[in-house]
Amino acid sequence: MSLNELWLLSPVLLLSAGILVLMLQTSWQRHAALARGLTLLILLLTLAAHLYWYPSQAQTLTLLFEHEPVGAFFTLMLLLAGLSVAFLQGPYSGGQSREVSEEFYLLLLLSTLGAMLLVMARHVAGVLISIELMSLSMLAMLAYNRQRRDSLEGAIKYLLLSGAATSLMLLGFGILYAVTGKLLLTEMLAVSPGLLGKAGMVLVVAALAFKLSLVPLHFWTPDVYQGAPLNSTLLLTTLSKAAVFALLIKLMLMIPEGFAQDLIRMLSWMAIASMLLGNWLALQQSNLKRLMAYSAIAHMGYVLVAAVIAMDLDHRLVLEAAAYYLLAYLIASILIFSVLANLSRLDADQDVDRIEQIRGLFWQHPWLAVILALAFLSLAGMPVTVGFIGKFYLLTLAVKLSAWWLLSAMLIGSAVGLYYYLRVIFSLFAEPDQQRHSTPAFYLSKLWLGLIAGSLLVLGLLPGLLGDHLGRLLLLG
Amino acid sequence: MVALSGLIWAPLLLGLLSWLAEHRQRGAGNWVSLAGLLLLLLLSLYLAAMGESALSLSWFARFNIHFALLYDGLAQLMVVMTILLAILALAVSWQEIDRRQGFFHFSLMFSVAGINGVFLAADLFLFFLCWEVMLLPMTALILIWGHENRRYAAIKFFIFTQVSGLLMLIAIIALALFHQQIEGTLSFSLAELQHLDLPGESQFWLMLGFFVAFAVKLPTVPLHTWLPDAHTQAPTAGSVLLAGILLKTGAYGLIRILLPLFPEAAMNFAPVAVTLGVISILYGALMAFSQTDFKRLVAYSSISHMGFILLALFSWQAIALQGAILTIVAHGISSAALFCMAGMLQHRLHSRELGNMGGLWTSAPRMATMTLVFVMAGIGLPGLANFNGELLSLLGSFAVYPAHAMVAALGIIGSALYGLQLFQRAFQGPPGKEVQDLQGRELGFCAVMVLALVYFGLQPHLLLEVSAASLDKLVALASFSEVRP
Repeated sequence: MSLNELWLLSPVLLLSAGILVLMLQTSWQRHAALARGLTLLILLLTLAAHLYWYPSQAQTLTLLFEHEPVGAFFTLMLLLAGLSVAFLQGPYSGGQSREVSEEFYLLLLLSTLGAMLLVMARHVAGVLISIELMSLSMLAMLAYNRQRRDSLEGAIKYLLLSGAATSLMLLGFGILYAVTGKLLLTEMLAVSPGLLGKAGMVLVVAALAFKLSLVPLHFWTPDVYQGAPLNSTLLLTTLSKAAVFALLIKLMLMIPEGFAQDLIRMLSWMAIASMLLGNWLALQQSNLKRLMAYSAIAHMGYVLVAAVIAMDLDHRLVLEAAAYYLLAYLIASILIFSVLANLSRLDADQDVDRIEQIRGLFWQHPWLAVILALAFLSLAGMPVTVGFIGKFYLLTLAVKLSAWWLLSAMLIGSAVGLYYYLRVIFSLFAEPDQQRHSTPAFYLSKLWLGLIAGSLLVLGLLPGLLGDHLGRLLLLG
Repeated sequence: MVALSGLIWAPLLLGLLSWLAEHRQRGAGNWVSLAGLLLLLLLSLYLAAMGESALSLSWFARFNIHFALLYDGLAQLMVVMTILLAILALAVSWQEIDRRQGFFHFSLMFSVAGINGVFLAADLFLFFLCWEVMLLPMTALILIWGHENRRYAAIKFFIFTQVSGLLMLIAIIALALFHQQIEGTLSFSLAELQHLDLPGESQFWLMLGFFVAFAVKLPTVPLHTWLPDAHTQAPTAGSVLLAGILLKTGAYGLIRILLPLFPEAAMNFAPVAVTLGVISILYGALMAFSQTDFKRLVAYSSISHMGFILLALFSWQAIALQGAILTIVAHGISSAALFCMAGMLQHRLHSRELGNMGGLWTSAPRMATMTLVFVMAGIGLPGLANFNGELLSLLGSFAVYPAHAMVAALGIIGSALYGLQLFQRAFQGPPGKEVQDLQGRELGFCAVMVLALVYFGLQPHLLLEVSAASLDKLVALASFSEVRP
């Protein structure tokens, strides 16, 4: 390994070193504020290092990982998610929580590390190690409040099902290895596989679809979302979705000619079913976390459209569309969960997550309500928000390749989606029926929240700021 | 000219300003908004006096999208009308809004910004953006300050217009991609897309995408069901803006985008569209006749009047197009005026039911006289603005679709039926409740509207001259197109 490779690995190394430092600090003396500060510092340093060594060319780093632009751009999103959770945990756990608070930061850094490695992986072993690192530390975060029964229940469900999904993936990769005798992803998928190889590939895709909670592998999503503490749900819906999607789209771009047709059919149906079913089931929900779970299913269906088309042609637009849409989804999710976390406490038996609990929020906490309304509008794809630009990208992609079935499902899905997003927004503007308190001001958290809300508007109003350069950020040359 | 963009962002800033002012001192928001709207009016008139102006800035280079505005005669007419009706909306709700006044002013100004954007946009992406954005403040107006069933009305309004807008968005994207296929580059510019030679089949589908969006806004039977609810439940200011301006964005879209972009497809589709127009005229009149709610009656009458516009536009005759423009302005004034009356009556009686009124002439003679003028304008009394519009529409369409025009003329009889019934049940009969007559401010804006109706009734050529250049282009396009019926 040359020195240059070591430098390119420095974000990951920094993060790993940071984890050790945090562990030492915690064992030396417990101090929630210090742990939080340290975590933020580590993540910011990682971000700075990552930006400094943003790839201009693809470069392999050891056998397992590589340094290339698609993964690098998704890493930016992962760090965005990790930073948001770190900023948010302070107000949410309120400094003096019944649960120990330092370990949460440790787990957060570990799962961020796993996610970052996952998007860099180029080898089966790299994929498996990093996806497990991410999932296992997330599992502990899902059950973080041990007093809540729902939380434990959700975590157990996630543990069992996620374990099953991982073993599926192992089996799939095993079959592929048996057929091709290769373990590097590119080499593994270079040759047109036989029936057995196709079966292996389907198993791998199914495992990824489980993580992305695509129909028909979505059943765990609402329960886990509802049970987990807000912050862990946020991490689950942003970090793990973005990382797994990056892997999925990289795999899709490698799929050999002979297999593409079958896979397109399979994934198209999954996308259509996710868009329709996710939106349809969200209609009935009065719990915001469950609503967000179903809406996540629907949104993953939308981005899957990009992945489906990825196998066809025009890689450039596909990657741009997927990246922009996912970024939009991330921003909106971060804002929604942040606002809810600002109203809830980790110690309480329940988070503030029912629609009637945010009735009339606009008249009491106008800023929080405006942010929430903007985030939901963005999810619904209203213009001037970043969500609209994401939708615009996807629609352009779908129209360009005349994918009329996907397009109609997107249309119907958006129409249905509009209704339940509106229901939430309308309740924000209803007459308030109770006094509610937001957690005391954590200056930095609020600043961060404002920054992300600002980016939602800026990227929606001036899409050129990012959109004009996205091609350069995602593709070489 | 960069000042042109001021017509879009200035209302937003002024809206924020009046929100802040209202926050500082009760009642200050009214004055700030009024001053802001007057300033905007001056700006729009000043820019109009400078002649046709345009603006184009690069906005989203990846897709070759520009922030392009065009302020020609037609746009000038619509923008000035928007601002004037916003002033009316402000005047009529000077004291009517009893809660959240600051946010009300912001919403009002926000919707002015969005509507101005629709009228000014020369880039389809920008057009779509403003088209959707103007929904937000309007929905807020209905939702927060509306009447008893406002939630349902607001959701229905929003979903109808949003979903139809999505179809338009897909058509816009497909159009840009066609431009890329044929010319080599993506383009959303209205001017560039007009030169595109599209294959017939796809032209039809794209046209349909736009038509649905505009037909929902207009509205045309069978896409009209949101309108009675939205108009009835909206606060007076909301109804004034909805009936006066928002419906006209549909007509404006047809004139500005659908007809110039797809002349052949539109001509082939014309028999269907014209039939829909005639059905709207009759259906609207019939439904209006059977209403007992003042606002609902006026709402259905709007559907009927908008049918004339659809009929006129798709018959695509110079005279009919002029008729459509006149109807747009005249209906903007007369329906807004009737909604003001409904609002003032509701403020006094706390009811919109015609059954609870009756005999109001004795206690409110001035109000009754004004209403009579507005009702007569709606019926199409010669000498008032609406008459010219409907006459020219029918005249123009008779040349191409005589049967349709004859049936549509029955709509005028219908309007006499529901108009007179409205007036008779509200103001005539044995004296019932006592209401306060029109006072200072109310008398002022009602008188201005009466004057405007009479003035444009006698001098319609003023409006036609302003919009002549835009219409001439359209007529010239029609004579080039080969599929004239």
